[in-house]
Amino acid sequence: MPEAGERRVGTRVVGLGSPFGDDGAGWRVVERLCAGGLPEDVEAVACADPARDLLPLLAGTREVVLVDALLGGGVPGTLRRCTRDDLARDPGRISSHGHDLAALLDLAEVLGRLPERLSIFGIAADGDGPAGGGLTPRVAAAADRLADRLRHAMAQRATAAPAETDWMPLEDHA
Amino acid sequence: MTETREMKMKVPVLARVEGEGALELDVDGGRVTGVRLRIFEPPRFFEKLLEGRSYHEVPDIVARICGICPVAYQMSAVHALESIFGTDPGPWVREMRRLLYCGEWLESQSLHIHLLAAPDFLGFPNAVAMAGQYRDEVRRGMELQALGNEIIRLLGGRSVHPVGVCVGGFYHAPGVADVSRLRSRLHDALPMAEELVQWTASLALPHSAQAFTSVSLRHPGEYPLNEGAVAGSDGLHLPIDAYEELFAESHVAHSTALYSHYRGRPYLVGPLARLNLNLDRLPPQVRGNLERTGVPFPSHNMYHSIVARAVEIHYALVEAMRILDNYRLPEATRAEVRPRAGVGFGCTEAPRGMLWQRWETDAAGNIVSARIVPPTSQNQARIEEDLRQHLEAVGVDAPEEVLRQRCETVVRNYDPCISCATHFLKLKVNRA
Repeated sequence: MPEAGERRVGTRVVGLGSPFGDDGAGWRVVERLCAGGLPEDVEAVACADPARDLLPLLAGTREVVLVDALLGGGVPGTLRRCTRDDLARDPGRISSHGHDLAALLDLAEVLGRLPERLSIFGIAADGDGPAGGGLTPRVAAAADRLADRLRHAMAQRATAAPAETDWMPLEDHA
Repeated sequence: MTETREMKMKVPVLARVEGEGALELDVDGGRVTGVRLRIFEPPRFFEKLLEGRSYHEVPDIVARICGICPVAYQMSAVHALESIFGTDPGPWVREMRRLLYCGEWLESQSLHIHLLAAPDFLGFPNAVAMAGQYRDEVRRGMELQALGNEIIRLLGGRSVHPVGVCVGGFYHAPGVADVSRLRSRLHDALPMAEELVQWTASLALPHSAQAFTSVSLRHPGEYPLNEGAVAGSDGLHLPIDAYEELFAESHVAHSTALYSHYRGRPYLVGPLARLNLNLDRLPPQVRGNLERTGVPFPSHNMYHSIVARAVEIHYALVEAMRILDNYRLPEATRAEVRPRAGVGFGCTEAPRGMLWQRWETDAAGNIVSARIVPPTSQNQARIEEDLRQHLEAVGVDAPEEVLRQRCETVVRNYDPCISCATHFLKLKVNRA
């Protein structure tokens, strides 16, 4: 799975997560996007350690789409479009191991490293799901649904004026 | 009879360290009578789950012990296993291992300085608040850290839990074009590293002097990363396979982490200890830059740890450039491994300090037993001793909020990596 995010692109989709249970939802979106091929100026990358990798991934692109598993995001498999204010915030929680997405985005903003456009999509995880192994089936299905919608939106953009096209409203339920 | 007044503070203390723990202080008549750094992070039994695994699975399993220093765990393990099997990976692998380690040092030390430690010395509650006023400095730190990631990715395939390392060498040799691109990025970053050392030395670091024994590897010709003997500021010089003769781990009731002692006493590992013992192993340009700071080394001021970390960033950059300058594609990226039964030792310098391991294999190369002594467990007794001395020096009558802040800063000097999860630390002061 791609990780680097080295080249300059128009849009970078960053899937946050780990191989453990439903935390892998963001990675699954990236896998599916990559498997289906992406437009020239779009890349999709997996990120396992936002505390050290997220800031570089916000650079070199006009737009970043973050995808992460959500706890407390409703029925497992629910897709949610989030704002930065929706994310739990605790700036003391930036550490070399743990991460707090909201705090890292705050840091990026202070450093002038936020891209022009930032979208955050959450996939409600099953907190009681398996800790190891793969995703619970409805979370996996939701990740695939999100990947397909992102791909569809990107295809539409290719024919529309980019600034006019926002990502689809994304609030649905499994 | 004294009445014990117990105050509990349930606040996210030590948020900028790793692990789940609590700090308990006993105070009697203005004196600190007890300090307990209680670590209740559940044990993870890595050593047990490695038993029965084949040697070739080891690098990928031990990389999972820590998300920030996977290379260290891999390096100590492959050295130990190769010593059992009589494998000589040769000069190319040796150099690439140093390079990989430089990546981990760059990344880990940059992260600690900028996101964890510096806010303490500039009076900010956290890195986000600090970055508002010190934007260029934090950006510089993030750039140095990103270069570390790039080095690890070059050899490890990815920066988190790298997969390029095997017993005998590497699975893959980086291409010449990738090497040359990275080399020029490192070269461009050199002034940043020099400035960083000067910047850390200009911080308002408290004055402090404590008696402690510094322990680190020492190599005849290099600043230590992968090889050397165990050296101490008391003149200790011990082959790594004799480590257990003088260093012992023990359980204490208040912690799930083991405590290490050297000749029955606490000791220090990590950047400050390494620099204290290996100043003469720094290349002239790194040493010269350090001398221009005016900070005297060897130092017994634990607050100079942040300067030592910056010096090691500078060193890692210079060393990585030297290795990349001489880069050639190898004929083979790894030596052939012929497993056999035996016992072997590996000891390398993780960003946080010496990481000692002992491995035993059977004739097929399956793991019979593993022992892993990480740097934080070696520093635990020293941290408690430091806290006790520090609090006695500054007094314990201060409000608990102030005490907590001071204790946090002291603990952060060691960059303890108690686990791979950050939780809460509660301070409990028992005043008699």
